[in-house]
Amino acid sequence: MTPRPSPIFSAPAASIALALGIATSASAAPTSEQTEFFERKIRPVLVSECYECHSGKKAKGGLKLDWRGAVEKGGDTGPAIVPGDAAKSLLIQTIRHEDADLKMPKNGAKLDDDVIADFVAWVNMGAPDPRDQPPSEQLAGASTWDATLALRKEWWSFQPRKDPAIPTPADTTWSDHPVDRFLLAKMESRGLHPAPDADPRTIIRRLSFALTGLPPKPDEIEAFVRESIRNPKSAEPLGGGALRLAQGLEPVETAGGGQERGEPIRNSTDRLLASPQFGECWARHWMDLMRYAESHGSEGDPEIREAWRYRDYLIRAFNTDVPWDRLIREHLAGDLLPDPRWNAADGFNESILGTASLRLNEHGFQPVDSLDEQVKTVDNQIDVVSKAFQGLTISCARCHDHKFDAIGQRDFYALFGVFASSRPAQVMIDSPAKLEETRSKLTALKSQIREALADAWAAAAQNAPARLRGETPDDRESEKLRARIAETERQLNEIEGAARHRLLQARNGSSGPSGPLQAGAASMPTPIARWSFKNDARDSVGSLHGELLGGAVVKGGRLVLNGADACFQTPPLPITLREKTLEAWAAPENLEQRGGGVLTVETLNGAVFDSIVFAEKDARQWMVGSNNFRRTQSLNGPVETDTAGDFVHLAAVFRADNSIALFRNGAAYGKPYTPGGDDSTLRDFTAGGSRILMGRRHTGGERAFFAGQIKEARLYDRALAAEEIATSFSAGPEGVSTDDLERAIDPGQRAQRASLQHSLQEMRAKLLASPAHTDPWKKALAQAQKEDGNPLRAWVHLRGMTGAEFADQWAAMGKDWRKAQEAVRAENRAECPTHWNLASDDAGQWFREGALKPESPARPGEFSIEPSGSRILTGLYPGGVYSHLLSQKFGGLLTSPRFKIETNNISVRALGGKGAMVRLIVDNYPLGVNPIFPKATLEQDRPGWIKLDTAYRKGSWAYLEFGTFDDLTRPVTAKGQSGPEDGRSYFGVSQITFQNRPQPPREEDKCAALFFDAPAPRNAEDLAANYGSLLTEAIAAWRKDSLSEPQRAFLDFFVRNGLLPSDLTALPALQPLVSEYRRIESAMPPLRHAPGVIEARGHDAPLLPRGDYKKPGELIPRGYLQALNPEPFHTLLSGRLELANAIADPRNPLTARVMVNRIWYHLFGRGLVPTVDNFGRLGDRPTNPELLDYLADRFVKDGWSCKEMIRFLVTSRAYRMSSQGSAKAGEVDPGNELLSHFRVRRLEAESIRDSLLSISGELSAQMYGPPEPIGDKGRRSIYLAVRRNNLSPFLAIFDAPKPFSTLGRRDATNVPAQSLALLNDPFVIGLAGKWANDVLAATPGASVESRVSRMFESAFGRPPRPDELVDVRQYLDARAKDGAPQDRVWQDLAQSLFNLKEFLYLR
Amino acid sequence: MNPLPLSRREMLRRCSLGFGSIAFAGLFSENANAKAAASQGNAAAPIPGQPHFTPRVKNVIFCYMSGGVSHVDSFDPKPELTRRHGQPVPVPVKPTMFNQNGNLMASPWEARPRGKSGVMMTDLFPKIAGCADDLAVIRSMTSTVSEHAQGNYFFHTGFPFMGHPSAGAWVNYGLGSENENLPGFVVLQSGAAVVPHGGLGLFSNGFLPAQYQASIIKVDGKPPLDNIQPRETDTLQRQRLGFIRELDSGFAAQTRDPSVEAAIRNYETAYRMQAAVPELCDISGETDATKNLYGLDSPDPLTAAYAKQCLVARRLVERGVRFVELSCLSCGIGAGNGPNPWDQHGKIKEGHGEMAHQVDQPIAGLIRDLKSRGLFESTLIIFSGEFGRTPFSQGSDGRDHNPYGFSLWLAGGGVKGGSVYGATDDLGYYAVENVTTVYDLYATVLHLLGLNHEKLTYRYGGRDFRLTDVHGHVLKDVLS
Repeated sequence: MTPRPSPIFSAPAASIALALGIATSASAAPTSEQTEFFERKIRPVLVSECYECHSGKKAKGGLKLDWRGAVEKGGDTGPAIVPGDAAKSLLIQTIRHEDADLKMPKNGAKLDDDVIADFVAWVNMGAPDPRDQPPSEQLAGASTWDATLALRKEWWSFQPRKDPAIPTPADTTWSDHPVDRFLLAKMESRGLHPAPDADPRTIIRRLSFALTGLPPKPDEIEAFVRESIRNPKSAEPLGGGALRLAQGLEPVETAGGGQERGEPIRNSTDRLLASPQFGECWARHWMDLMRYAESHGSEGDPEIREAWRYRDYLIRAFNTDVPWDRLIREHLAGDLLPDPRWNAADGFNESILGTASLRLNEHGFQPVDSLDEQVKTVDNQIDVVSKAFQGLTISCARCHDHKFDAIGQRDFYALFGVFASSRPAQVMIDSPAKLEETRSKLTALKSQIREALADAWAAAAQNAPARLRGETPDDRESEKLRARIAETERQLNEIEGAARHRLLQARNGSSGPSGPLQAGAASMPTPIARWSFKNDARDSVGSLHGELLGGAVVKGGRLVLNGADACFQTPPLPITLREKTLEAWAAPENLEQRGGGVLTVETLNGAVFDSIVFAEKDARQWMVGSNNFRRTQSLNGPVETDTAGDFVHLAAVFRADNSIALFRNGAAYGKPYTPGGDDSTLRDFTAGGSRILMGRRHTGGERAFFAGQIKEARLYDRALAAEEIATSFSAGPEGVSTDDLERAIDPGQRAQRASLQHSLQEMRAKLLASPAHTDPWKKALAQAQKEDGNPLRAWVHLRGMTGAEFADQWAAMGKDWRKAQEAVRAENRAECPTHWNLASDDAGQWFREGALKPESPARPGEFSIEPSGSRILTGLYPGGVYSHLLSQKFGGLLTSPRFKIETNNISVRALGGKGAMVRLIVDNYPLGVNPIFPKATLEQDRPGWIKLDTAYRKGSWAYLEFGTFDDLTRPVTAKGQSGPEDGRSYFGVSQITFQNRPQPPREEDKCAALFFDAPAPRNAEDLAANYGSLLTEAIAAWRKDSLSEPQRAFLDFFVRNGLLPSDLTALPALQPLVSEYRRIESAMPPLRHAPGVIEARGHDAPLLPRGDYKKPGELIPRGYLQALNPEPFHTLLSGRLELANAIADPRNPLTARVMVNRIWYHLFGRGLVPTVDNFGRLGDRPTNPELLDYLADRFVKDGWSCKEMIRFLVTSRAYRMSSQGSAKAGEVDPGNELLSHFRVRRLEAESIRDSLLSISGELSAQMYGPPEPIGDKGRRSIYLAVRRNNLSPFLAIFDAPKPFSTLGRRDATNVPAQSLALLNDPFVIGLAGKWANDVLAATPGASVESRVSRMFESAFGRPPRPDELVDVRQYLDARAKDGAPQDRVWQDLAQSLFNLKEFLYLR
Repeated sequence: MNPLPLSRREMLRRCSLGFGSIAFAGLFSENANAKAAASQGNAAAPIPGQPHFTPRVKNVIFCYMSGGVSHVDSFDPKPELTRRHGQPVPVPVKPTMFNQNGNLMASPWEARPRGKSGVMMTDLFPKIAGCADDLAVIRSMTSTVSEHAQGNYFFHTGFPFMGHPSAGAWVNYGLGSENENLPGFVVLQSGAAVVPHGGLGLFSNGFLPAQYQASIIKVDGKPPLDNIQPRETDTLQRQRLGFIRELDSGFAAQTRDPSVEAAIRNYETAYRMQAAVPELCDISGETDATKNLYGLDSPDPLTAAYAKQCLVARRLVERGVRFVELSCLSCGIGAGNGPNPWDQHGKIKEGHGEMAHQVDQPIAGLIRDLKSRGLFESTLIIFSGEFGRTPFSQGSDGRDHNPYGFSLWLAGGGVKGGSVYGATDDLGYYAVENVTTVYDLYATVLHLLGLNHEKLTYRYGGRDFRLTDVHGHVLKDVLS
């Protein structure tokens, strides 16, 4: 029966028309019966189906239908109706779809036959129409949608589920199973009979693929066949016991009860449902709905970090039969459920993994228009959720009310608010309880360490005045030493410089010692540093003497590098390097190494560098390395072959015009290039802030070490010309060798030079060992002389003064300080107002995720214990929020409230390291890495201001995010590099300012208040004592955790500068405590993460008329579809939990129907509603609505158990039917909608690949884990990587889905690429060979028949028929006659069997 | 369909008479289409494989300039830029991809009137400019996105993300193929050319049946197409295929399922494709004059490589392949990498110069060759990138992306040669006259192919989708 649009339409239209009589004219006033007929039957349809284009201001085709006059007038093609003559009425013709070019409603489904009949009756009665006035503008607009919605809600799928009675078909002997009874009753009504049972081999193959995606094993087939033969019941319907089971009752144990247990299909079903492969098969179905992918697509195809955990979650969920309503709740709000499921084996939160489904979006690459990107993203989220769970296409309503379904545009924006309020994130999945255990142990130990430190510091503070006053006797000694060293170096350089100059002059004029130079060759360039590794790592030109680190050694005139930890490192550069040339003679030890650096200039932390690098991007090729490849391009130069151990000459030139060129053995290597994009211009490597490395690409880089030797390296502070490089190359590494130099030196000076070198060496050693060099007080006092705002500044300034001079200077200093303080404060207030002070209650407005404890901000003076090394702590932090107060492994996210960007800059006072970042997340875009997305990697250990340039994003909505490496949706690392692998990363933040000026706020000199607000000291003695007592007070306050910020700053100074001991060498007594702390901390495994979303304060979204996000309209309260759930969500959060509850509600008419229909589809090959993703008007209607409702109801009553539903369906007799339909079925029901026989289906892509592997014995049983590359040849297909831009070609050929939106029903297309793959793909051919070898090895000396039998059984689940054996024999004989060896012959047969349709199809 | 079980022999006869002996036209055209539509329950879809009205052209060659050609340096010269070179941009600057916006920058190439029509073009493409009277230049094209991948998707599918059918897939869905031995939608590559940003999804069938997706043929590749190379001798393969057919016929007789029959026939086509594709790429039979016309003898290896694509494109058109897209090769200058070779954020003079040299002679050669063979009137050539470039500089010598106004051109049957449609402002920044969208472009392309863009629909996920979404007007002014 066709569902009717409304119960009030139930009376047959014709009878009403008869009762009403037929009027002759539409303009005559309608009778009250006619009016009622119009109001009940005609007006609602006009409103919902026609008014959109034919009312108010809209008059498509010149036609309006919103009042009688307009209807009478008609449109461009004439009158719409001929009153009294429906057949001649254009309106009727169009709704009957009589004219192919004019079908109404436009683009819509044809109206129900009943509705058309109503219209016919109405026109035939003269089209009585009570609407004698055109509708007022306002009324037309206001009432239309409500009326439309009311009518559309009558659609079958929006109706409550019924619990239909199981029908009794005429033939009660076929089966008692409810499914069969529903099906048979329908068949009988059309005169059809069910097909006979298929043979057991067909059934077990069908069942095995449906439940596990794999073919049955021969022994499983045999067991099934044996059971089927032994149990004659198996070919007959299930008995009464089965019906009881089917009805959810326990089977009655009787003498014959063994029959039920003996049901072969039930046994096999139980076995297959219990197998882990069940989850692998059914999880993949669900992944199709969730557009599962492990990358975001678009330019660069960035990964969705750890998306595979969601895939594993689904496999486990199906295997453990998590109730369906529960799974839906987890998908939408797994992070918000009060009772998360815990993975017992691995101790993580399963529920939260469901929310990864909200993050599997495609994303644009660095969108200029981030709001546009957000609209696309949310649109896709809504599309997926609504199609997958509800069989509705809600995203159609983004620009206008849905054209056909009960979905208004407001509904779309009610949902938009829910999803836009959910922030993209990596979420921590570990159990907080488990962390709590570690946390409490560390907390206890940390407070003991604090006590012990406070004791030690208190003792040290006693000596502070003395240390301040103390003169170190060797002070003058060191100063003298320094002066003497400088003088000696000068003398040495004078001698050597002159000699070098002479040598080069001579060489440029004629031929050098390394062979003749080409005529006209450029002069030898002069480096600013040169390392020849004659005997050591000294610079023979300047003072950049290297230090050998790790296993680096100088041997035989070469720097020998082991590729593991060896490198050469200089002290900071004495000059700022801009244009430059790096030159080296290097020999890679092997040519397979990747990414090692030969010669590098880098900033001291390694974050920025330029380098000559071997084989990082491209195997065996050289390149010019740089941070994140910012100034790097593949050069496509010649690859190194058979040159391991040979020296090549390399020169990297960095020119003022930003171009970069690499030369190898004097010739250009690839083309010179000018990098584009972020940070691509020539870098300054500042004096004091940069250094040279050899053998390591850069500090901190992974895979950075070079294995090989360096004979010579030179650094130039200019870009050498190509000719100069050629010259240098031909002059050889010796260029100006130490020997040459020695020879060139005036003999009279040789002795002098040797003596100078000797004494220089001695003096350097002496200086390094002197107390002046090592004593922190000395260093600190020296430093204080140069720094304003240094707490020791007052002391160094005043220590020599007495009396009035002291008093005056003290007063003057105080005055200056106050003045400066006020100026700084006034300036900051005016230009850099603090937006959030995270040391205050402001922190409560922010949102913490991961292992960040939701507690009040840290007080001034908090600290973190260093995870290794001799230092216990580095310093004391100001008040704020810190991720690492107990461990750098406790990462997380700290996000701000949402705000509109209104300033050009935002400054944050923060610290952090190991890949932690601060990012401005604009319109929820999670992947910003280029400069138009403000962000910074936190690379400083003490709090400092970091500025984010926000001018580009002014006017956008955004939030700030501080995150540790593993918690970031997209951390910034160099390509090919991972972040810290031990899970350590950290950040801390204390203050945020919104400002227009580019400079961050100025730092206040906070600790000065401690002095100048206290009584003035009378003399230096007093002042020294003041330092002591201030320190003592601060330490006492710190012990009690009640430090003021000035005290914190003061104490921090002493700690950071080593004036208070914080090093284990000085505090051996703390060793046990610290060791225990570190033992616990390092034993903790890194926290685990998965894609997810996090909450913040929810916000409603504006309606966007016509979907145009540039014209936001009224705010729509967050909520669900009006047709299902008219109340808006009452929540301060996103509303995801409310949405989950609305969808998973057992009273939701769609949810259970949609899911049982999906299960039905996967088992029977066609849904009861064939359009499995669309239960709306444009979808198909259910072929058996009563059965659908029966199943849906049963599903809910059985606790939403998928396994139970599958078990129930496959134990029906319908599931065992043969696929051969009767002749009558072909005539009456050619589409087999009534399922009078089984459907033939091609295997899905994964099953084809998995079967190939399984049959050839190559299929790995390994489950779970990070994805395998698409070329993998052993794992099940579900474990292959799903990169949007690089999908498995083999699976794609067989219609594996492209991950962009829900796809509930796969295509089974027929393209030559499929045949070509099975014929020619080496993967298939290789597996055929493997299979043939296995068969031959397992059956030595066996007959052809038995081998072929064995192969048929594996591939098709049955032995060959005699005629097939004849064919096979002929084929084998023909191949053998051609002279093919036996294994090849059998491989050919195996591959041919792979190509048979019986292998690819299920029947 | 015959409801009675067929005998195995009867089935065998129905399926095929033997490999290589008979052509089954159905695979790429009506059978598969109708079946696909039926299996989708796609009652609303038109019967594909038929034009809606008399077509002007039968084939399309899409010269896709991935990365974005600078229109102010090529087909939309702006004297105002020369006059105001180095001055600040006098109008508001929209957000750009890299936010390194400099001042107005004159084109390094001289502009002059071309051909009888006198259309202004620069010296960037001298040989294409020599065909000016054959080109309809559209100077008011716009896009909605500033980045490559989304721009590429937008220009291929009408939507800025993956999942939708590429224009070539739509065309094949609408018209069917004229050659059952070759795919109807082919993307050519040579040398180091790669897929533009966004990946293979750009050439996808989207939600259309898979037979409409593009096949990537590497014109100088061995093999030119994945799995096209038989791993055995022809005799052995025929033996194998005969054996397969023999055994399949039994299964087909049992199931009597049309999809099984189609899968069996599929092998026939696959077998023939193994010969057809290599034959297609074998240009040894072409005369030296033809090869020289395209630039296959060019000392510039990139030009020679692109020339081979152009020549094979002509061969594809001759063989009735509906939609051919060509791929540029990267010269590695100014951020123009493999997937986006025209992307000169820096060094536009050098980069565009090399890129133009790569495609100029081959495309001009293609136009001339098509004309001399009488194929020009039945072929449509489209020349476009995903957006243009800014009239102001990025850094010192590059240009950033500009989706607000840029140029493309059409040539071939039904196209008004020597014409200009639309205009950008004096600076070449925004389209201001006859603003044109991708939807207009494809409405026009489909129109030339005899298809009404509003009627070429496919029902998917509860909606009838079009290549032109809910937009698009046929650009009547560029039609002859």
